[in-house]
Amino acid sequence: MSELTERLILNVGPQHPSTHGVLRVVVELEGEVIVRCTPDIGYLHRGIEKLMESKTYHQCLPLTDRIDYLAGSANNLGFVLAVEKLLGIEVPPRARYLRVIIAEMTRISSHLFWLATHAHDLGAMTPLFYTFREREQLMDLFEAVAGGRLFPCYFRIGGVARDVPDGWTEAVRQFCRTFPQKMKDYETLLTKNPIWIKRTKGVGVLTVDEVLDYGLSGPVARGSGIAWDVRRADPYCGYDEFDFIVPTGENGDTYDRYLVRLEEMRQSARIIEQALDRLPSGDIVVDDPTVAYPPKADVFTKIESLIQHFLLVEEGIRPPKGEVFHHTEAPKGELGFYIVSDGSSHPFRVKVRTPSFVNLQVLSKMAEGRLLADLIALIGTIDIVLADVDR
Amino acid sequence: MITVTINGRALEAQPGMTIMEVADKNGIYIPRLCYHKALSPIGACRICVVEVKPGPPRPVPACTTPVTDKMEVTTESERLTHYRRELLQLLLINHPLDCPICDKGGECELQNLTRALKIKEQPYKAARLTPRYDAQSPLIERYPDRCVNCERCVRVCRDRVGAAALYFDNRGYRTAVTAGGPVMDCEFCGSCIGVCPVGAIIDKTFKYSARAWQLEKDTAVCPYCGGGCHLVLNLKNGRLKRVTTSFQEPVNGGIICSRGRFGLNIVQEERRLKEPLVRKDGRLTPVSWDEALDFAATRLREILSRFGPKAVAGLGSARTTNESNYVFQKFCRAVLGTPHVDATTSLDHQRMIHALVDVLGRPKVTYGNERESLPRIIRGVSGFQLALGTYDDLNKADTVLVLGSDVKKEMPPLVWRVNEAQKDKRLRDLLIISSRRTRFRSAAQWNAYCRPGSPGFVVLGILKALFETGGQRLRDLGDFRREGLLRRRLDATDWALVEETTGLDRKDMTYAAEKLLAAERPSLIIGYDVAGLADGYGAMCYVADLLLVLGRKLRLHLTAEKANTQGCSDMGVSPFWLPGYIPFDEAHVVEKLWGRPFPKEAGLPLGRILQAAADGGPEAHKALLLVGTDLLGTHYPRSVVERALQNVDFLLCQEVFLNETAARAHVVFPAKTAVESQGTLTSGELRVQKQKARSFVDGPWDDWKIVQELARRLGVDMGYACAEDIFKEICTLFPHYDQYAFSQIPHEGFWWNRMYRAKYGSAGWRRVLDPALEAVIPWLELPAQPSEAFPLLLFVSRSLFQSGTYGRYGIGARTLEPQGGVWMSPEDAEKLGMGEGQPVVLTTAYGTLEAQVGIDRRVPQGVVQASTHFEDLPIGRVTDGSVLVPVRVDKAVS
Repeated sequence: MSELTERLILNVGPQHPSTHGVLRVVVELEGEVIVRCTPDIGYLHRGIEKLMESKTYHQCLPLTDRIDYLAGSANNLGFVLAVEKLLGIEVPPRARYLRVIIAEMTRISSHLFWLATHAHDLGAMTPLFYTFREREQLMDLFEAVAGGRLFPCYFRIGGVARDVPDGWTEAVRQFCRTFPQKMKDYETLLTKNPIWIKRTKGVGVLTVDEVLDYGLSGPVARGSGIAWDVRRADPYCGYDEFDFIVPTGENGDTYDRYLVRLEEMRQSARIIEQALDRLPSGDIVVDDPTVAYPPKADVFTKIESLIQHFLLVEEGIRPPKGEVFHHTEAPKGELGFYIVSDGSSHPFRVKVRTPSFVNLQVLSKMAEGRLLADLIALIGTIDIVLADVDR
Repeated sequence: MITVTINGRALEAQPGMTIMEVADKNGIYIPRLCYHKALSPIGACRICVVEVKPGPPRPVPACTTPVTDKMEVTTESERLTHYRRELLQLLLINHPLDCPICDKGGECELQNLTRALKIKEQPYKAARLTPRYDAQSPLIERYPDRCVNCERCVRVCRDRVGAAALYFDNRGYRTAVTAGGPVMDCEFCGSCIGVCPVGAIIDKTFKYSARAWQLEKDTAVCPYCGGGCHLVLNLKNGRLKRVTTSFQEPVNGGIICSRGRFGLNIVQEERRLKEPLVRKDGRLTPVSWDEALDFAATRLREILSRFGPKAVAGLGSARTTNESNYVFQKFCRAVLGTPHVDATTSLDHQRMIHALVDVLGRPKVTYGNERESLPRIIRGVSGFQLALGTYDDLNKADTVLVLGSDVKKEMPPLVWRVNEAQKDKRLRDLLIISSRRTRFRSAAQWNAYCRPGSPGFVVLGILKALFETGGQRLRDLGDFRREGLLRRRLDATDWALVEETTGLDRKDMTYAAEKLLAAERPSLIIGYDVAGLADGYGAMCYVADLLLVLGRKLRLHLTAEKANTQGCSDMGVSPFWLPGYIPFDEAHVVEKLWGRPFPKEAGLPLGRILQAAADGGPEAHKALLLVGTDLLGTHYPRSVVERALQNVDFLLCQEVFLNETAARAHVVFPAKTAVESQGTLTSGELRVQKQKARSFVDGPWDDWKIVQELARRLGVDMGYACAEDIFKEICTLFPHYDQYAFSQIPHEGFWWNRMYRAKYGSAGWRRVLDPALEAVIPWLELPAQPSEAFPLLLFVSRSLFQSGTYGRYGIGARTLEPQGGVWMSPEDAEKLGMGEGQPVVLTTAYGTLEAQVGIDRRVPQGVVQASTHFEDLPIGRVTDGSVLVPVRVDKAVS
């Protein structure tokens, strides 16, 4: 074997900014061409599924924030909807709308972060400063309503933690009003940028069959022209009441996925505006003391509220025996929670179908035969978060 | 059998059952608050309302409504839920916001109901009453503001425990549970804590130490009396936090006494022995196990070679497991070669068993095939054990005679079963003939007071009356093979003597005899006031004959003071028989199994061992091995015990605490308690129960393991790896125990007198009493009488809060009865010019004892009661080992 054809094995990561977390990719190179690439995952495994087995359902909630930490509320939503399905309860309309608003804000926030890092990986540093400006606004809005920024944990089984503060809806409306203009700024920087096009067009092309074979979802699937969006295909949280477009690409390459995500942000802003317009008044949690925490003020003054609070904290919710699966459209794709209940106050088993884990599979497929430099674009285009992969 | 439909399900039911019982039996849950399955229903809370067709248009309480044929019951409907919610809202009106600090939080029935009925608010208001908290009572705290007036505590105390210490005060909105005074006057069994659905009555020793959901539960057999109750140990991180029990328990049915509930802290007491101690330069010094065992083995070898094996005497323990007792007596007999094996049960319980064995025969199995061939075919079973009854017999009894026993203190489960039979109206007559006035007397239909020490004569009187009036009814019933022998004794004792000795009228004894004869299922409870007499053996012989005469109908229940009092005798820890009551003329069977020769003769009983050691003659014992035996804590004559302990060259103790006796030892081994030691315990009703291995402190060993290690150092390998091996060996010697493999002994144990139920089914073998026709009934000695010099009678009594010296370390005993007491009747006190707390000197023929006198109107005139097993009241100074001694009481000269 000549020296020229000798294969080089290169470890990308696990500590490398372009791997979006602690991902190690073992790349076999022939020259600059990738012969094989193997993602090595598990560096961020925290055993969240196992941990949940020893926690009450409410205690599980903060763990879900940490699955995809760039979209905490989206994970919260998936979990509470699954538990609510298990319990057979329906949340009040106001809570439902608030959930939609927060979930779509989360989508925008997640996509903004993706855009920033993706562009940065490919050499464009400027978008980061713009997108983070808007992302910061969203973080402030999360903080105002929930107290937490990255991990708002605002949703509760049966509703939401508390009503939104005064002026909050106005602030969100203001954000939505200005956001399309900001989107234009980003596009100015990238969409017709020749370098950007060179780096993304025709890179990592996925055909419809490949998408289906790999079970991909979210923008990665839609980029290849598959209009699969759980919000539309299997509506939850009343998404069927909103008017929005499910954007799809044509070529299934990195550039199309970029366009899809950009359009999704616009659509999310539209959904938020619609939700704000129609935001109903009324309860924010379900009227069932065995599920929802009573207001804190009552706990200090009324015995019945104290008892309900005490038992919810001490013992927790006791859903009936059974198993349930619920899927939602998280920013990165289809997020599913499968919960088995043995009738006790702790889940017997929780399985989280995270989009990043499934989508990451296709990395080796896309990277084979391409240049090493494309690998960085490909990692970015899948939009993975390693916490979401490893759980 | 009738048919009831509940929620559309057709169910079969017995007439007389309530709707609640039928629903519970079929797994249909009806919400309830005041109902408790162990108590008679009162229908107070009305949470359990159901709709009934045919019936009144209003809902009726399920707990008090009996089912009728074709009844249709609906347990859930909108109307019922509405009613229940309203009722519960009313209960919540002024309920304090205590959940976060209330012990019951997390296991509170009010909380659970509030949750189940989804109460979110309650619209009512009512004046807040001033609660009368009870924080002064020992061990128990009461919070009346948390009370929901379900009356469970009142019912359990009155109907099951029989103490009636709680009752309702006032009416209507002001109704409240009260103890009648600022401090509870009760037995502190804490059963009210167990039934309270809320935190109105709580365990003071547990308060704030753990939350309900943090506790791991572990069921154990109680180590205190011979009742064999099941305790639920509540542990947090391996530490015992409290003791509860379960209402599902077949043995005690949810009731335990003060010792069980408040006494288990002994297992993790700071003062517990954890290291072996060896006397060095006159001081007990902690050493390693090896050093202590080597030391003990060397000393034993010296004594064996200098004085011969008979210079050693071993005392087993009613506190340790069957396995430990078995290994210990085997060690003494086969390894050391001494016949002198006994235990402190020889003061009382062993005498009863001895008499029963002598008169009614030892437990024997006759086989249809050769002994060696398996499986064996049983032809017949005989022996005294067939006359002994179980708790369940007591439950079914229609007449119960209690004779010479302070049952509540000796073995409380017997009382609870009698109370249960009373509550369920099965028991027609409870007859108590006693020399004490106990609280239990108030439960009886008929009470008679006999002179202290005379129960033997009472039995004799009853026998006389039976023969006189029984006629053909008696003839049809009993076994008269011993009649000739018995008659001679009975006829020679005339009524005048019986009446004079017992202080009872002839017709009293005739009445009791008539009741026993007329009863369908009579039971007889005999206790330590008979067994503890110097003449306890004689009196028990008459009891045995009473059992014969009344045939298989009469059930005998013996009280047992300690957890394995019965097992101790079963395992041959007695000078009179080998394990399984095998007599010495059949010792070759045992020898074959053990593979070592041992002396085939009866040893000396404990009293004579101590006397010999004290006298220091040529026959004197030079080494005493004490397993869980606090000789100085008993009422053995103290001067004798002290001299014996002084004189012996080697004193070995296996103990849990360093008590007075162990403090004089040459070597002390820390032993596990009966709750920790793996093995079996045989309760007073012959129930063999398995104890799990546990450990609360590091250090102590199982008693049998200590003995085995000692044997190994003396050159004999006993070869037991675990308690199971020993149990297997016990089973070969004592086939009555051979009913289950060790690992398969059921949770509730098995009765060894109901042999082979499980293993052999209802095979066609006969169960017969096999009376020893030749055994002579001794003449009864006249009980000790007061005289000029000693005008009163000292009557040794036991404590309700401990059942032996290690019980003193229990928190309950320490709080409720920290010191031993001497009590006399107000009349006697007045005569002697004494008041409460007067320092006195008790003088008997055996010595003097200083004490403070208490005045108690329950003490009969002419009697001084003094408690045993207290360190600060060395009762042995004034007794001769019997519970009854004439005494003089003088004011102490300061």
